[in-house]
Amino acid sequence: MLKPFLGLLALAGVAAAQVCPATPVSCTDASIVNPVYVLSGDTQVPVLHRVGKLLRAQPSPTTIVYIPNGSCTNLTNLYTNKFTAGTGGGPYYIPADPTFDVTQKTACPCTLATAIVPDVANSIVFPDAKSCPTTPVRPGTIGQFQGPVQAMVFAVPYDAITHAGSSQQAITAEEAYLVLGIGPTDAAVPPWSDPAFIFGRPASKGTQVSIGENIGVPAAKWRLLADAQHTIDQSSDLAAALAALANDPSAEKALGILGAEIYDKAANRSKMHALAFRAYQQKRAYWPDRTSTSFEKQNVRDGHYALWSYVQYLAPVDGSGVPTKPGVKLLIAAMLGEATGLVAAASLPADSLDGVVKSGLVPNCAMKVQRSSEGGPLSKYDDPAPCGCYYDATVAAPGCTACDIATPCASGVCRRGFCEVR
Amino acid sequence: MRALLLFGLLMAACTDKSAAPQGTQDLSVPPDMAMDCVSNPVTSVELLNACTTADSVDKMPFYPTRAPNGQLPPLP
Repeated sequence: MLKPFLGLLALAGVAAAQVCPATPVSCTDASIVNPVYVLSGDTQVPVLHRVGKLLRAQPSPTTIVYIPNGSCTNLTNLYTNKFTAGTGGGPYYIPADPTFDVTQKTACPCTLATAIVPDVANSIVFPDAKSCPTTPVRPGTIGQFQGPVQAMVFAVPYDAITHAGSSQQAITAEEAYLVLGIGPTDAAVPPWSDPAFIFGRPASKGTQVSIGENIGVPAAKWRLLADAQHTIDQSSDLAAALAALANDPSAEKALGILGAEIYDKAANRSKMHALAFRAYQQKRAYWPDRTSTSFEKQNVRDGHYALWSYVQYLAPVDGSGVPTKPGVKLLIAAMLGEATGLVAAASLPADSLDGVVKSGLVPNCAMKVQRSSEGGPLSKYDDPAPCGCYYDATVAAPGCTACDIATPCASGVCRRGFCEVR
Repeated sequence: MRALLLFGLLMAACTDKSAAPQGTQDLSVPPDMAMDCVSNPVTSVELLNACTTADSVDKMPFYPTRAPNGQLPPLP
């Protein structure tokens, strides 16, 4: 039974490898057309793959070359012009081959034969001293661009097929504070009292920074076992650690954190489930989505789920605050899904916002709440050109009306093929 | 009367379809178990507690032995 499965995995590996050169090329090789060197949070790798593939397929291609790392490390490296491999490996680049599988963990590796200056960095936390206390002050020549929303989750092992695993459904901010801030052993909050089964990230990682700000435990103060099996560098490895416990007798004790777009991968949702989260001063706990099994991030979008932040893009800008490199302007516009004055609308892939949504991120135009600091208070948000119905349709959530020139909306405005409120 | 209130609160908690509270209720802290929701939310707390059709879970937030007088202990 196992052999055919392993055979399929091997074939998949061969297929993935074929899109990359047998020997990695230099990251400055001529085959890497119009490179944009990106310091990326590892949770943002999936969206870089999707959007990067679209940009690579444009008539005038742009190639995303990225190094995965922590949000705070990315900021430091951008401010100090450092583009070197991090603990997550790299650099990697999006290949021209249209068969490139965007769900791969990494794209094609390339080598740093010569020094490269990074063009842009992303951070899934607000780039300030509160989120990243050891990061230098942002130089005045670096601009900040607020991108889509990224949610984070507490997750526990659970096998969706065998129904083995943790029975836990929710966690409160107070419980999270005690387990992670006081420490599993001292806090003795059942069932999360064994530090051997509590999994977090290094303090530079945005997922931990953001969740930490929401529960009142700064990332550097999380009481995790300090070894690589518990303070896990890459989110995909943390997901694997949780998944490995799905059918383990100790699954009930386990608790980890993930970016929602990592959790939302089918392979992960089949081996774990997110916990509903009850924030301070909240009366009930909610999942990021309307139910524990849906994908529409309804509770992130309307303010019932507090564990989220914006993906911020930072890049050198001119005196008008516009990114100096054309490829960076294109990347930021693609992540926003609109030209926003950065690029000509015709140069933007028409389906770039699809790539953002399908990567598990929420465009600002689909949000109904906003915040201005990491873990800060929420307030209402009304986007001038809302895309909530487009978003729902893209994630297969029901309830919206399609429209076009021949089929106008009975009320509201037809945007991106769906009737929006305005 | 106090015992009756405690019993009532515990029963309310146990009607939840999901995991029951793991700790003992701290009576020094008003139980935040009201089932009402906010119809026209404006503030952050109101948005968190706005009426919704989304699934949710009731879970008691405090661990009295670690949060005397309703206050969480300071971080080490």
